[in-house]
Amino acid sequence: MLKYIFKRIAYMALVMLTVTTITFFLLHLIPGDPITAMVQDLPEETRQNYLAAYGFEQPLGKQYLLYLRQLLTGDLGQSLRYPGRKVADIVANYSPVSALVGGIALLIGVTLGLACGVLAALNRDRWPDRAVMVLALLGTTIPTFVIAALLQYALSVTWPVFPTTGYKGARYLVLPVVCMCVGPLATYARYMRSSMLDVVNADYILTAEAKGLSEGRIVMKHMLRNSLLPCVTMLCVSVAGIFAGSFIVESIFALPGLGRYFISAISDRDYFVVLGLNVVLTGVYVCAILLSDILLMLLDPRIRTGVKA
Amino acid sequence: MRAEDFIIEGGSPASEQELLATKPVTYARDAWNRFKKNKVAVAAAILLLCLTLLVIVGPMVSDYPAAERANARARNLAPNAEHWFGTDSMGRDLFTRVCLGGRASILIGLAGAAIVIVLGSFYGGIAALLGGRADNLMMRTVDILSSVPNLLVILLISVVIDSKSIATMIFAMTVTGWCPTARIVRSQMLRISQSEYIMAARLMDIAPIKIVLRHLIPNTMSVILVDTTFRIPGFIFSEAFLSYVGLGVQPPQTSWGALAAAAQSMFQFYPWQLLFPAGGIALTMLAFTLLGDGLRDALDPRLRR
Amino acid sequence: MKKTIRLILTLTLVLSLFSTVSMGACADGQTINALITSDPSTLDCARFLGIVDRNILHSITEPLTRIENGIVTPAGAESWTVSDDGLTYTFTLRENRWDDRTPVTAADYAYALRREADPKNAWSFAGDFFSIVNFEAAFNGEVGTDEIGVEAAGDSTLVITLNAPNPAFLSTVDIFPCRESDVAASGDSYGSEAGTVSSCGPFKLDTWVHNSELRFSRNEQYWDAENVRLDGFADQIIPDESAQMASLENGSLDYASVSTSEYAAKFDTRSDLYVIDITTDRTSMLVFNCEDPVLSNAKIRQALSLALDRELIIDITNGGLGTPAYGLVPTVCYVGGVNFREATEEPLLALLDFDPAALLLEGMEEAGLGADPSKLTLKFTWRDTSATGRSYAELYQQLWEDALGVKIEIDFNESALASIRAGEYQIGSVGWGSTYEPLFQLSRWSTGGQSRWTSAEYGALVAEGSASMDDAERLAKYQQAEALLILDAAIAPTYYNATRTYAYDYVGGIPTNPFDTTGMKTFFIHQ
Repeated sequence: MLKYIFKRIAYMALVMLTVTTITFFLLHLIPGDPITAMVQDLPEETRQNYLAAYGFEQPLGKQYLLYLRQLLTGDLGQSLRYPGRKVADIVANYSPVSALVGGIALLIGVTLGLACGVLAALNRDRWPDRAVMVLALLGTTIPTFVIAALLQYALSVTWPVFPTTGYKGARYLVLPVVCMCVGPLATYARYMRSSMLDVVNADYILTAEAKGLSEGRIVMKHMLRNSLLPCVTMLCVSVAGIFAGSFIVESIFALPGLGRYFISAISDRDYFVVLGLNVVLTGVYVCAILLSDILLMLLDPRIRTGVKA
Repeated sequence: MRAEDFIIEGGSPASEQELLATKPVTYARDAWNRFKKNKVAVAAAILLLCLTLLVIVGPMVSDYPAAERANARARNLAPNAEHWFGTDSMGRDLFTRVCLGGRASILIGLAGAAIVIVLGSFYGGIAALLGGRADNLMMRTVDILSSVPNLLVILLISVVIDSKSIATMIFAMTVTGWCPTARIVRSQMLRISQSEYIMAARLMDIAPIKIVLRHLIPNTMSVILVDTTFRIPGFIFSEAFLSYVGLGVQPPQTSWGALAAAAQSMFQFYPWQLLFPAGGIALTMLAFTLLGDGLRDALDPRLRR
Repeated sequence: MKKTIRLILTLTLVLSLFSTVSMGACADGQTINALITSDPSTLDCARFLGIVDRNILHSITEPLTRIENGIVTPAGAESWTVSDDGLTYTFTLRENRWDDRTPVTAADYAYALRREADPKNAWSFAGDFFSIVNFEAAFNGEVGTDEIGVEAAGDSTLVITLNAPNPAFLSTVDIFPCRESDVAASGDSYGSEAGTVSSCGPFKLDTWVHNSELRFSRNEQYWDAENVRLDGFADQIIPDESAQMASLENGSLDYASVSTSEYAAKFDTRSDLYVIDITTDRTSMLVFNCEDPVLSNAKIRQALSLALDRELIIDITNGGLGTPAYGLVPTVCYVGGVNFREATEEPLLALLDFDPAALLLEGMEEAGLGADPSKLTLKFTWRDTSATGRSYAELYQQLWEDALGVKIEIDFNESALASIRAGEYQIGSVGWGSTYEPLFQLSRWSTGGQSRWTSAEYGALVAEGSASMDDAERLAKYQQAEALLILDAAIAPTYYNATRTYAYDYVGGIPTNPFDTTGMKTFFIHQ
């Protein structure tokens, strides 16, 4: 087990390197340079000075090596669009907001979603199943930017219960959290339902029923535990995802999160911010995958490394 | 261990082996019967059919392309007899626009899902069958590809390619989009191949290809189907997101996402401009998802009674 | 499940009753919530990039001079003298203090300018200062930054020397002070966080939550603190338009500019809001490539210009905000103390009686293009590729095709500006802002500019005008130049841009001149 984890960690470093390399060269394929994206009609000398100040006039290969060396020293670089801001500070400042909003939303969404899924599966093909699933789905069928704008208009303009925008206390988080939890709610409801149904007819459930165990015990002990397994991987990825934040919700509710920053960095051609955020988010993601694999191994003895199909 | 090593009582080994390994031929019919009983799924299928018909036939009815032309004197009209869905901020007939947008959105959803499902299933399936080092290598590649945040890939590729046609968008969304499918398919195949009845089939020396065709694929099908029904609305949704960011389908082409994004800031004045495209997205997504759930229940061999 | 959600909502609601955030449209003391649409890039006065940054700098630092109601007024400098040859500016500084009570000195202003000239900084507004001796050379790395024509003669005297007389100098540049010790203390992160910038202006920056909010409070050390009436203000950063409008509507913002006519109509019905219309310094226009075989004909260009229904264009593309433009220089520009537009009739008005379709035919005949306009295809290069942006291009297409019978092909091109600059276009759409004097706009076309329109006479008029220290002569030269440019239709001005601001009744002191550089200093709350 330990050896396996060490191997995985070494391999994670390889993943990070590959991803960074791909992103680096992909970014440099984008037509246009950051300074032109920021300020139109700039005198040519100013532009050249600017590019030189950031080393963009050097050959791409050299820039790449310089960037890697910088990364190895733990320096994620600086923003071009926002002179003087370090990428590490950007991550430290913004990701907690995204993680908080996303975390609460995920918690609520997953809890409700799993509950809905179980409820639907136990009442399969009867009206509670249909009603719960359609309700759970309704939220996800409308684009987030539409839900967010509608909620904002209804609950902060027409009926001013919650603040419109900003990040100054618990009240400011309510609408964003509502917008963000509909996604996980429906996703987990569907996965849970389908994974419960997979388990319902399994032999060990039949055995349990034959043993005369009470339905509650069967549901709790056998069905729930086994149906939760497929959700574990998904949950780890979801948790990794909350740090990246949500561009739409953060823009509409003016939350200072990472999602908004990330997208504007791409359109601003803010190379080092995109690269740096990418390294960090990839790191989180890779760790989450490792965690989910370890969890799966602990929970499900059938999935082990090296077991042949 | 081979089947010959066992003595099976009460019959010739060969016939018994065949009996156990073969599914009844009524599998498809049986699934169809079960699907028909699921009223919600049937309603969803009919709804989808109607929507598809509408977006194909709609523009023919509405005097396209004349209705698509900007008309400065008929801007932001509410729905009326001439313009069933009203007009947009440029005086274009919204009914025509919504139909055209629906074509694009549904096409993106179907094509995108088809690509990722086919790619992902083959990749995941092959990895699971090969096993060992090949499996390891293949899945590590998937790990690397899917470690790049999906959103970043889509945005970067849209920005790099810079053409913003529907094909480009589908490419951007599928380039790493097949990875989750590959994972799901592989893990499901592994799970099944370690289950007791596959063990039993192996012990009975049934040809591996038969095991794959008769057991692994039908049993993986339900997982693939659930995934598909997630992916189609997922692509429609991603397109809407890209449109909101400004990287979606570009005019003169349009999509439901682009229409909704354009109408979002003005919805309190012209609610119909938001209502129709957003309604299109919502209905399509709901229908695909419910249809998928119905199909899943119908096709899952273990749910047969 | 619905019940659960309602339960959660109710719980949150109850919890939130205990929080102290105030909401709704009310004047809570002398503070104001203002809107900015994006996070400031930096508050380093030598490196800042956009108008958002600049406005904040006007609130937290004291430039040598400010423009107030369109007039250059003393700020950090109590007074100044200009030598007879117009080359040497001698500023006498006021007694002003940084928020840590140390005095603001001439060295602080000189240091800021030297920093701006440093090619290592290479910042985007350096070009504004190129009329200072050696500034351009230092910026290009040819001489050291200490050789620029800026000198601190003692603590309270600053001398700036120019290359050539520039009557518009003080109305074009902001000369902010900056302390060497602050820059040394924060290094690269100077200007990027609240703690790194010192204040010597009306307000000081207390907190800066990136992408969310900046909070300012009054600076008691400021020399004119007694005339600053606000206790403080907050800049709310809201990028999404419907969120901005929702915030104004429910009073989370005390004032905001509104760019869509529908929202404007809605706010017009509110009795607690008042409106301020501001004509900006920007003229939207079409440029014609005068080197193109077809468009080298002046009559064809005139026909294209006259065929545009400018009111309709404003209505559709700009939410009804703006004034039809028949001249280049916007209504807010002054020469000396005289408003240029009021003193000058818009040149294109003289041509309005001509029939554009007839003009086109004449032009086509002159150019040997036959007599059938439908055989003439022109390419219209358009930069905005967003959905709405594209539909605007289609509007122009429709107007031309309807009025002239020509065929217009739209070339959607995100790098349209580069194509236009390179002369690879036929008709293009651009907008130019101006400075307080019309020179900036007029000089764009001196050597052909984007239109590739060459007129030795025009170049001479602009050059003579800009070098003249006599206001009346300068005005006359500029007037002649503008008429020449517009009547020959090297460009087709379409409209002068405008913004409309809605503010709650209790908000006062909103500047109405687009060139004003008073920041939030003049704002107050009616008690």
